[in-house]
Amino acid sequence: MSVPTTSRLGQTPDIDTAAPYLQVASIWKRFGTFNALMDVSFDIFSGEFVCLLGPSGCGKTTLLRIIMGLEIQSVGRIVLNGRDISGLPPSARDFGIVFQSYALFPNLTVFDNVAYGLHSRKMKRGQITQRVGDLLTLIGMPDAARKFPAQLSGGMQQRVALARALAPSPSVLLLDEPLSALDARLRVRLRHEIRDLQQRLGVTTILVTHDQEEALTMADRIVVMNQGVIEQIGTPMEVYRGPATPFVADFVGEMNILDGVLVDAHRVRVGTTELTCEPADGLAPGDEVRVCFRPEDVDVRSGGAATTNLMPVEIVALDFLGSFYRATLKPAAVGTADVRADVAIHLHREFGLAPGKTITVSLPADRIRVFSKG
Amino acid sequence: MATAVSTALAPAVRAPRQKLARDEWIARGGLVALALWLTVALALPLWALLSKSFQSRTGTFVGLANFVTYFSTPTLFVSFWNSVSVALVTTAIVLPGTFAYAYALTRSGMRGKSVFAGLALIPILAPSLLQAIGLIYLFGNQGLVRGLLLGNSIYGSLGITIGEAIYCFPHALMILVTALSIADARLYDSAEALGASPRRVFFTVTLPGVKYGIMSTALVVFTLVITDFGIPKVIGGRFNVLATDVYKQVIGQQNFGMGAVVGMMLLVPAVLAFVAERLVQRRQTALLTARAVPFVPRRKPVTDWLLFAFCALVAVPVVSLLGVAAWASLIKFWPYDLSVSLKNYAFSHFDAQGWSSYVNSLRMAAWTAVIGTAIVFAGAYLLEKTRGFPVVRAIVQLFAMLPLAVPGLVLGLGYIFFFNDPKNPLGFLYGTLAILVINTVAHYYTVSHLTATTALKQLDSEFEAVSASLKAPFYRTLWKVTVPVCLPTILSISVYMFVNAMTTVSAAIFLYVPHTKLASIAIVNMDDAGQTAAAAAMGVMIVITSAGVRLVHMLATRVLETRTQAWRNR
Repeated sequence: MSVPTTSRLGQTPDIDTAAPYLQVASIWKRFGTFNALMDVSFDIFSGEFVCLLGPSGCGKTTLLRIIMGLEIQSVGRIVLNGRDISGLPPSARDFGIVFQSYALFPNLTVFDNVAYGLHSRKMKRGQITQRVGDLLTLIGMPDAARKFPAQLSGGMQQRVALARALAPSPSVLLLDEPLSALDARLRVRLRHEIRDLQQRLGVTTILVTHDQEEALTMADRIVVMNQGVIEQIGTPMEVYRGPATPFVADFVGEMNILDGVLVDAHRVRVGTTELTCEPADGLAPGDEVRVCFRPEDVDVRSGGAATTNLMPVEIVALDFLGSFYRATLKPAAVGTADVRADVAIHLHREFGLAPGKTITVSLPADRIRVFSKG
Repeated sequence: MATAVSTALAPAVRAPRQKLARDEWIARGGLVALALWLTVALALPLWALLSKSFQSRTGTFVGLANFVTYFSTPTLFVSFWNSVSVALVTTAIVLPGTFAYAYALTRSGMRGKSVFAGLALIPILAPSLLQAIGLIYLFGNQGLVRGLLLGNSIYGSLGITIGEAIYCFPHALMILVTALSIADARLYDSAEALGASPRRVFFTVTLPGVKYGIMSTALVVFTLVITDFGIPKVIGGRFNVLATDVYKQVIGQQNFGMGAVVGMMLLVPAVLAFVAERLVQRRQTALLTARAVPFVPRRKPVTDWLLFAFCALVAVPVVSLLGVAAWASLIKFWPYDLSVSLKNYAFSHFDAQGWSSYVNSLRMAAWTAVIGTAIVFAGAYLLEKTRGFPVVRAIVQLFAMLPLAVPGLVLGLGYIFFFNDPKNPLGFLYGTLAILVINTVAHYYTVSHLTATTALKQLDSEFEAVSASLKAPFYRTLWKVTVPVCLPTILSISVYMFVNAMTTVSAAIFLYVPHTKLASIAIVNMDDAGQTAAAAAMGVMIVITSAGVRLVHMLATRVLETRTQAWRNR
């Protein structure tokens, strides 16, 4: 799990003062009696990179297709730069699109693929050649003009599809799971390439993905969706550190979720242990709650400085995951489910952790979130 | 932050109406045109037939009276049983024989597979009439080897059954070869690893895997036999079947009401078989998985040679039947003067229209290939790749599947009723070559449509969305991408249309007038007039033409693959 820690410089817009560039306003979409989208609203600012993140079937692709104009919303408006485009066909909306399958025209060369949208703009031949050349250089494939898509690797096809979408300088770039068909290593590299390209061109971009890592590393802001509604909108750090709902807590990153009962505003009882936690809004003492904390926030340095939320546990298993161990811990307190904890390699060595050993861990109070159960 | 999970229904506000781009209007116009075309070429003629079956000779509504007459007249009703029994017997013969042949082609290490596959498909190039003529030369009253029948007559159910079996063989073979080609080697490896005997593997793996293919084949053969006109016409003698009854009622007795009733009797089993076949087909595709590993047969000398002998035993008579017909067409005076001459090809000596019916066939087939392919491909494209008009779409979808269930004779009959009606403004088409083209395109619509749809489905479904986002109208992408990519399929469809237009008899028999007579009709006429050798000669002309077109198609496809399909290679 990688968390973006460096702040982004780039062209991240000043969200507080700028007027929204693309507005998704109260979109509903019904298929028969099924509500695929329910009152979905958010704004996107010029030059921003927004990820629609959610599990399959959450409505994110339907929303993207509505923004593209390929589906028509049941209720709601799409506003681009102050103009309502809800009634426009896809060809009148000025969006560049990249699909998961790339949809490159197989019988046309890379050049003709990239130039495809330029012919529609009645550009002169010389201008087209110039523009395509520039774009191919931009994606790092200046010599591929005469090749056919089938002669390119998956990653190269992906870049050509991107160049084709960018060629007519669209207002917004829409990416529908563009990296899902690629292998893991290439995916990581292309994330950076796409993000880099987007920042250099300053093109407003929406990316749909089910891969939370992709969303966290690429987006300025993430829109987390589930079952047709927006669960949370925020920067990657906001979404990761402060999940607004149990769904977000569970879906983004790894999370321990334990059942508990709220004792007072700052205390929660899990099994026979009481833990200090962040104050939970709108919950009353005695409420049944879910207590959430991330495996990497579990502090295994038993004798450390921590004095709150100490928890004696027995190590049940240690799974070696390369750069760290994932420990399965059985709390000594009765009535508590197992807890997962990520342990850095050097800490594992330092404390001589091994299955069967009993240690004391601590849970920082500011990293525990409490949600209503239900 | 919107975090509330609302389960309330959306407010009842009207959905925003999307304006249509210009090219979308064109697409919808095309869809409506397609629906109109299918209505005129298919639905209305069938409706005319249906309503005619409830009318008396004078055109007044008589309810079920015609049907009552039909069922209470033994001479009429007997042909229904004749048709069904011949169809059942033929199916029972063709199925196991063809299965063994297909098995040899796909699952054995037999030598000469491609030769046997090629030989088996030759009958497809000929009208079914020619099979029957070949049978007459072998087993007829002056047949070469009539002694083999031990005194039985070839004219009647025996001749029809043999003729139909050979006529259906290539059609059945294509389905079974396809079914048997789909084999997952992993299943066979597992069965072998578990110690199953070859016999057990056959009954537990092979047979269940092609179960649906076998059912499908049986239904197709049954329908082909029930609806075939050529063979019973030539060799049926006094053994009446439904197909010949329709012809007799309409052409012979001008009893259109009764003709329509017999047509309905022909339509019902064909439709039932069609529906059953569709249900079976749906299951068949569900068996396929993307992960299947192709099966590569191993050589087993004894089995392979046995299968080789069997294939030879089947292929030799299948081919020789046409060979005999071709040979007989070159004989001066069968069986007395066996010297070779081309006098039987001087068609004007035997038939008033002479060679012009062959020219008509060529023209009709060419127009059918060009117009039919254009309509079929455009139609499949509009259905598959454009949006909007769900109701029109559903109607077109239904109509496109209909022709497969409608026997040619029935469609032809419907055409007479519909286009010959004095109130029909399209009546001017009657007696032209155009009506034959329209009829042939409609008759062979379904298979071509399915072929085109399959090819289109293989294209990325987002091409249209991408080109819309690039502001390219759909017809530009159709022309620049879809058509070039589908060119091999388009060529196959046009060849399919051409060959079928050359060989078809059934519908055309009701629709020709002397100056639009087709070669296949000329065969029927000359055979009727006792000019069997000339009829055979005309049949040979059709075979040569069909074979020539297929050959040109093969070469063209090869050239095409190297020249314009370079992008397919990595």
